[in-house]
Amino acid sequence: MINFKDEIKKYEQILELNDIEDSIHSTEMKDIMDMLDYIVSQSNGSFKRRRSGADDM
Amino acid sequence: MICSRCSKEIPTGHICFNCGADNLLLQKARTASLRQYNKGVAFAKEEDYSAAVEALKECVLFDKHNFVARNLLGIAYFQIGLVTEALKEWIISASIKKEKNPAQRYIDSLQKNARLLEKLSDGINMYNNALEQFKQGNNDLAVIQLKKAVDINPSLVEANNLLTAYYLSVHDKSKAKKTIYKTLKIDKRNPKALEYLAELTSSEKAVSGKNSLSSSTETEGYIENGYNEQSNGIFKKLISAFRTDFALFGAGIILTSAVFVTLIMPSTISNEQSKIDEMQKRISELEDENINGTSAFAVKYNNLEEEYKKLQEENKKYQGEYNVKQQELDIQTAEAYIASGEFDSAAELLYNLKADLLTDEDKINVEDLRAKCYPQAGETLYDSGRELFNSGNLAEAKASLNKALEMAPNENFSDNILYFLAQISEQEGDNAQAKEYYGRIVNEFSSSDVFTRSEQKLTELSSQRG
Repeated sequence: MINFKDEIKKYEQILELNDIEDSIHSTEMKDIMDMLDYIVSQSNGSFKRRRSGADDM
Repeated sequence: MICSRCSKEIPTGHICFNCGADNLLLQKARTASLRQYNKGVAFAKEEDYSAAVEALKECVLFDKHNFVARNLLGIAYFQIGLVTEALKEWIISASIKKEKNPAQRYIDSLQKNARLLEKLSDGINMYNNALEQFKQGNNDLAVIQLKKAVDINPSLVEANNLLTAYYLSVHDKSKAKKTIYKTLKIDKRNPKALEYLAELTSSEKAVSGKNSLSSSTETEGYIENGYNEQSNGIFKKLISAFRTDFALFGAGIILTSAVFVTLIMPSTISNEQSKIDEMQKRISELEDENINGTSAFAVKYNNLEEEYKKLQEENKKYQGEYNVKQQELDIQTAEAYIASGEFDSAAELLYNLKADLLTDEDKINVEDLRAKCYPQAGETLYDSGRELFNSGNLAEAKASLNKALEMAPNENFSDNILYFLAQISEQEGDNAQAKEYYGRIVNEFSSSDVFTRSEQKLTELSSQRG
């Protein structure tokens, strides 16, 4: 038989009606392309920082 | 090549110089999104909403602009009772594409049906409360909340699953079976429900001591195939068991109905018919009584009305007698006031007496008393009226002076009363009334100190038109 205490850990609270608006704002729709763009922009930034660090030396 | 994100032309390669989008990746992401969408549609058609939700969530992760997928995701959420998640997806979809988007229609229909939305939302709220109660160890309270949640939002599969988990934990297998069945009826391959079914089946097999190998195979069959009537798994057996039960139950109903129709029904019908006849007879009797005014209610009403009229007459009679007695008392009091020199109080009482309630003897007596106190009281009222006139309070001055004139029409100050009343009328713009007062002074008080002025005023007002 199941261990109920462990079992209830698998359950999560469901979004309530009053929280829909907040949830949409906080989600800030992002898809995989946005994430890739973000990763690319981050890696370019760090590359540029490394480049500028090397130039300074 | 045209950039599929910003629609600008890309002269070479696949990277857009305008927005920086890698169109090759973008195309791949859109293809992946479409693939997941197709999966989602297939799952939704099979009423496997949990799988549809997962596929469609991935779909919009690949392409956030895929509003069609969001609409379907909302529908899948709605099917499993997650109305708020559905609403959220439709709102996002409607914001992505504002025109010709069914999402707006879904939102509108929910908003129009506000009571349903509130009900379903209450179910979610109760589920959340129940989950919290379970976590705090208040299982009894949690189960009550959870049952309510399922009652008001029956398609909320997560609530059914949680209830199943609880029933399994307390070894209430029959209830667990029912809730599993309910869940799988809504969401054919709900993973949690299938897991619980496997759990339940394995424990039943262990108890019954049947072949563990075959049971294991069948259980696995369920996990893999879900709620599938074609499956060789244990779920099929469960269904067939239900079918046998249903068949027996149905046969029982048919037999009982036959007995009822042939043996019990005729006598029941005849009893009921005689009751109907009796009632109809009683109705027609009551209708007759009502028309003739002989019904118990009509008789009672008429009696009460007569009694009420009698009481009203008696009340009127007593009121009249009371008023006469009161006037007699007032006359006696006025006499006492006059004897003690309080003429104003006596005059006030005598002034308010009603002539129609006085006997002839009383009338003579009252006239005597008035003659004794009215001149003095009239003078007091005149003084008061004059003061009010001087202070500019014309309305009260007029009332006081009129009363004074009524009490003392022929005293040595009566001409002054008339003069003040004339002045007030003039100030009120009532020249006709003013002329009447001045005329009375001229005609009745020739030796008055305001005679000349009244005469002048009379001439002056008579020369004016209107």
